[in-house]
Amino acid sequence: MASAQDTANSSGDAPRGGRGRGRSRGRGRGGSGNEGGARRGRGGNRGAFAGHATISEGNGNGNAMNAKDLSTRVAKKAEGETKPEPEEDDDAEVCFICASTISHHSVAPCNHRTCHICALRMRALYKTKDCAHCRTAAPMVIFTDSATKHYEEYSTSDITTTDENIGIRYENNEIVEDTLLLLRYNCPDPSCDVACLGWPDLHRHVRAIHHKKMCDLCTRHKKVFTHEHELFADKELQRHMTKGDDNPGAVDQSGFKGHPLCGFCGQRFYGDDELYVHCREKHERCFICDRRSGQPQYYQNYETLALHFRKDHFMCAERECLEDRFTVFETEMDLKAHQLEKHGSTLSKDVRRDMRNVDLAAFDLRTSYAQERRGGGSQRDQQREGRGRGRGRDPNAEPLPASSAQPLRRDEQAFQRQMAIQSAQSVSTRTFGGQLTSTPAAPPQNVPRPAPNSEAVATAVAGLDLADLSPQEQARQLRHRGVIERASTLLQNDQTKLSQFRNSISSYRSNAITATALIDSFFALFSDTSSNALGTLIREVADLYEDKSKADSLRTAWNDWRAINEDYPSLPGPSGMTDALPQGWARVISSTPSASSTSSAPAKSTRVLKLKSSTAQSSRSSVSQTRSWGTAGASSSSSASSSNPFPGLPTPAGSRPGNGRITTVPWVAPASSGSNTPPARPTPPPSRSVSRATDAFPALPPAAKPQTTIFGYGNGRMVRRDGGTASPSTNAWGSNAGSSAGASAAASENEEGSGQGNGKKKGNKGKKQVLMGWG
Amino acid sequence: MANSQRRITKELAEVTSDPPAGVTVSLANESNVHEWNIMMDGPPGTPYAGGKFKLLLVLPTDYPFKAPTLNFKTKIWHPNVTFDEKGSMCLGMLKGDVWKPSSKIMSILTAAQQLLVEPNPDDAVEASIAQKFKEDKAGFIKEAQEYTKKYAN
Repeated sequence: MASAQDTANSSGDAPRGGRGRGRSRGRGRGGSGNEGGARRGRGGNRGAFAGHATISEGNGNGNAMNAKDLSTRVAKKAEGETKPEPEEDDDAEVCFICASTISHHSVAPCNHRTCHICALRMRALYKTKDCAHCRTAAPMVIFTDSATKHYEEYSTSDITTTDENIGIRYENNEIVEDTLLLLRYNCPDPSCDVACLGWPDLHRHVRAIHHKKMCDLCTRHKKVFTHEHELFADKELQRHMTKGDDNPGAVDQSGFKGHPLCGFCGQRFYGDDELYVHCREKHERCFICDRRSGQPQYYQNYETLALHFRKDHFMCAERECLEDRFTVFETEMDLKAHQLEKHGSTLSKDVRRDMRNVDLAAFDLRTSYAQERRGGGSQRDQQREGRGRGRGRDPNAEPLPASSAQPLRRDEQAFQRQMAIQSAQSVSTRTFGGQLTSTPAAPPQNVPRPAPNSEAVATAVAGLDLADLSPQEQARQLRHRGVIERASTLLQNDQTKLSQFRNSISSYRSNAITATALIDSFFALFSDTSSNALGTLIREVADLYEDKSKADSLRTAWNDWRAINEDYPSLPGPSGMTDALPQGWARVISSTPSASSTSSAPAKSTRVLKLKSSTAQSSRSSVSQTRSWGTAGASSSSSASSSNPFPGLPTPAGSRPGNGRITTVPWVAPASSGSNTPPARPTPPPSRSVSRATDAFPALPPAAKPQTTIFGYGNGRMVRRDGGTASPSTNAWGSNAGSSAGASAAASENEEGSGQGNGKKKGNKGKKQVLMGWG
Repeated sequence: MANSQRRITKELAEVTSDPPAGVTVSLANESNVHEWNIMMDGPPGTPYAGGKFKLLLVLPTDYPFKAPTLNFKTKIWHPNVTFDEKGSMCLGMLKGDVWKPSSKIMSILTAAQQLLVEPNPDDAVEASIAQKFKEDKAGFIKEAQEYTKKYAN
């Protein structure tokens, strides 16, 4: 095309530009009289043709064609030659729209003017009859040579030809001719003035005569006059398709980047819009991924999309849903909800129950949500209370109003004490462990009498162990080893815990404890372990028992436990949590430390503070309970104290397997601590809590015990080690139980203690102080 | 193609010689008149004041019969501009059914500036920002200022 000339021109003199454009064949005749003669002559030639023609291009009959061809050729030549032409005169009028010199005017009813080419372009190619300036509908426009005459001044006598189709009235036939010329199938080759009969004809012509091609997509979609299309050699066409005129450094770029390709069909489309329509109709996209990210991702068909659904999302596998298609969910929870809702009737009760379980692993909890949850849970817990005392959820744990809670509390206490005594008698520490977990921290506080006891226990345990193992047959031993291995992995090779674990098993064997108690103790031990993993372990353990009834009752106990504790996912509630799931807590707490230690300690602390403030009240109100709370809190505190006795315990923290719990942890931890005593929070490496529990025993000697004693303990601790910090917290609890005043005192004590305590837990100290404020 | 270039060249000359206050225009690539880089100062008296925003104006090959597109390359927190990498701007005059071939780029730039001065929350692309604009003007201003400071310097 004439682009080279054009650009040369335009770069030189932008506004007026050159007129060399191949397209504007008639333009040369515009304002200048130079060519007048030739033009007129032509006009005359064509007069007849134009006269009878209704202006539809199809009209070009053979004869006329020849004539026209001739004339166009002449015109083209003239154009080429007359380049430096008169049009560049100052008075030449320029079309507002295309910035080219106007050869004929187009006047709309609103009296806005454009050049006839722009008008024709809009009307014939863009199919819009609105005014280019003001968008007023212009069913008819007048093509005229007058630059000033108003639309309404034209009378029918001024019009020689009318084209109803595109809505043009012509002032004279010369304009008609120039206009029609634009609409013919002119060969784009600048040196060729052949006008063809239609697209097929033109394609054939271009191929045969010029050995070039036209882009099929462009000829179909591009809104330009025929002669404005481009001719391509084979390679050029390829490039045009794939890259467009994106040619860095080239002069004539338009930003056209090629025709987009549908990767599935290998078919190209004119533009992104066309490709989009195609994809929308022929291909599929994943609405879930769409929701997540803006970038549309297509799949060739539903089959491939379904594969994606299965792989990356949660697709309902019921037959009817498969047939319906698109029954797929973003989360497992949504899927379960759907299954319960739509297919609930076809599922067994067990399955349904399982479905209601929510795996918190990947759950990102928000406080408010958890709170709601908690409310519901606590009620249930109370109801359930009778069942699994030692179990995870301690009904009493709630920070509820003292009055209502009281009765339960005592109950529980009594029960616990009893248990404690029993366990003490039986020597199986295990029980304790169990108790501890359930009512987590309780023991520790009271219990601080530590080291010696724990040792004794340990030895006892060892003895049991040996006794237990020696008589076993080999096969069983193998299995046994397997179990131990699993357990030690789960326990992070914590020897103390491991021996507890063995201990528990053997005492169950010897009927020293019930299956339920065993489960509880496991729970205490494996506080960090997911219930699934724990389930596996328990099943393996059950397999070890020769006594079938023992194995069965263990399994049953486990199932019961799950039924009770898993119905309600132990959602980490914020402060409120205390009530509900001690075990959950225990778990949480233990994990917390690890989590915090490994990662974001600071974040946690801030949260803690917040929680504290919110919980402060509740904790106070539930004074008497606090004690028991204390237990809960204790878990943490106890853990701390335990650390003393068993300093060697590796904190599981670092190695904690990535079970989901961790995520929850941060929330929980703060919450639990918050509800209890703030000081408890700061508790250090909770993970130890378990171990401590073991040693400790006396989960029982609860609150009742004088604060002073506790203090004494605390102090002693402190002296000994950092564990001291934790112990103080215990004190605080105790004091709470007594009286608020006492509490405050205790708190202050704590503070001091912590101060003495160790350098390690500075952060904790800080917290405590804050707490003090609360107290 | 060729025709659009003529018109574009003309407009480019106009805008370069007499740009709207606070706006400078250059070609993204000297050989392609269809892509313009626009640097626009945040209009004084708006939360965007002090920020320098880069925009990309793309003129289609059938300009002026088809509307150009104007995108913020600098992130801007504004009800009518998507707050993402694209920075798509919802400018009334650029909509397909409103666009007039007679509209000039100059007027597009002024309209864009005007939109910074007066967001149009009823025609928003960022609903949350629009809501803030309507319900908490002070908060809106503060946040917009923060983002301006963050991104438009």
